Amino acid sequence: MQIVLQLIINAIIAGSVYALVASGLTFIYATSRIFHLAHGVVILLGGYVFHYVWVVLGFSPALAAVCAIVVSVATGLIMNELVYETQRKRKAKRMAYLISTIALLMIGNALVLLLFGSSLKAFSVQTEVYRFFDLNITLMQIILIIVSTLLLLTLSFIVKKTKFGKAMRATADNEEVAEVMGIKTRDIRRLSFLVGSLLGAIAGILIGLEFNLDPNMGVYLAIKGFTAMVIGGVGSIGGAIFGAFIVGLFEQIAVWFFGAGWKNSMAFVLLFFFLLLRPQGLFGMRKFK
Amino acid sequence: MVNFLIHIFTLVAIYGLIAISFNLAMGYTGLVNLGHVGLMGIGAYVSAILTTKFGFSFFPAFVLAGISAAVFGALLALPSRRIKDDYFALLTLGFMFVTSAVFINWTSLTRGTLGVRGIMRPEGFTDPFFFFILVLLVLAVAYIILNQTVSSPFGRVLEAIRDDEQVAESLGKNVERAKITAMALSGFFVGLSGSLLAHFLRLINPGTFWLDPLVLALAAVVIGGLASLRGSLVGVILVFVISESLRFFAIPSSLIGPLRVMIFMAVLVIIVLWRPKGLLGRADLD
Repeated sequence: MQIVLQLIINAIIAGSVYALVASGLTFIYATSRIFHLAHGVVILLGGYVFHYVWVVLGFSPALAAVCAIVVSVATGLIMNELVYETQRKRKAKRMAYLISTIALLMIGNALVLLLFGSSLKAFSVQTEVYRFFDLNITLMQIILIIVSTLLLLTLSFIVKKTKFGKAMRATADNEEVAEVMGIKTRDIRRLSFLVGSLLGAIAGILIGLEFNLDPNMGVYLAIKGFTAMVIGGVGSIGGAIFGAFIVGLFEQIAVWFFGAGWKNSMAFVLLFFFLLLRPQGLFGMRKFK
Repeated sequence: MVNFLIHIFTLVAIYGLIAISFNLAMGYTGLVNLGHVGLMGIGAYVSAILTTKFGFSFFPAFVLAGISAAVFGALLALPSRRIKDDYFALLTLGFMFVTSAVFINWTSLTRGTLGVRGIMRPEGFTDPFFFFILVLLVLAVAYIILNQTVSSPFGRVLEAIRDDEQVAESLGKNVERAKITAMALSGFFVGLSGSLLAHFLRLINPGTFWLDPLVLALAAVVIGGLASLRGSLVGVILVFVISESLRFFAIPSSLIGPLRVMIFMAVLVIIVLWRPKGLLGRADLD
């Protein structure tokens, strides 16, 4: 029983990071219809720049976080502007987007390897450990869950209540109609890349603090984010968040039964069964909500 | 110097095999099989384990490597009726990660990250030059078979599936069976390439079948052009020329790998943006 509870706590911790990744991806997908795998680079840069400015250069963590977010968001926006928007002008087809996003992911991955090396990067942050009924949770983990929850709540407020959210939902629903109604869909796409990349950068920072940094994690996180998206039903932010927790839980169960070596490939097993058995996702919403 | 050239030429020929089989799935059939390297790894491990652990001689192990990769290729194609486009790509990328996890974690068979060592070159082909001739022969046979396949009526069915699956289906073509056949054939040849690579390098580990070969194959096929076997071979040669010319610059060896990936992928982005047909391709990227 205690193990089960600890598993659930670990799943919530991992899930709240995956939720940031998955909801960022959903944001981007909804307006641009791109499976933005290169989002992994944005996450990776968030973590690595944060580590570099704080641990290597020795500045304050707040400044490091700002730098990380600026670099990541700029990267996300540049990728959209230089590559995706150019492709959109040329009316590129799906395979072209897929290849360019994979290429961007690999370029970013290699860039991080070049700049920061292949060794694991750890933050030696020790925070208090709290124990409830023999369950362990650190202060860092509590902060992580709170930050993630607050961000996701803000996000859902933006989508539901603001003008930008409305314009975004319109763009997601039907780009041409939105354009006719006077919505500048191109700017909406830019904004959604901005918001999505912001979430990715913060996810990268939190992951660094909690799980260490590894150059391969960008690829894994992008795919886990997609798995979460598919589980929840592509295009639904609530679904993506729910899917993220399922991915987290499934991974923890796999680690418990089979060992940590299988953790990163578990998301695919889940992806496979969902695509095969329930391709519309759990909530089966086609609309962006 | 001669030995070095033979080494590079052998690698070029092995990658040529990887690229033309990749093009059969991606260029002709429109299945972006990002798990291609996973299939190659299966072929390599099957061949390496059969020869080092179970006393098989090279040729039966070589054929079994192809067959086992073909079986997995066909299995990957099975759900392709429901799982298409981007989803198929993600799924097959996932397959690659799963095979890698199996290579790492099934230590009793694969020796985990240590990898399989002491893989022997086949008898009579231990000399690098003769081994190169063997690889070249396999490449030539594969090229002829694939060329026959894509210019046959079956090849036109594949291209019809790529261009519009529903149209192909409404013309009474068995889309599902064609996809499975294409993936099995593609898997068979990439399995053979894995076996050749294992016996060429004489040691393999899970890192051999990670993202680098995928990057290389993807770059070669897109640069050379979709739906052109000749283009894929040209692509592989170009990719190797770029990659080997990096040796002439004084770059620390630890940086060469990432730098190579960046160059290939930058070229890929340029091709996708400004020349979607590649050098010799007949199909747009779709």
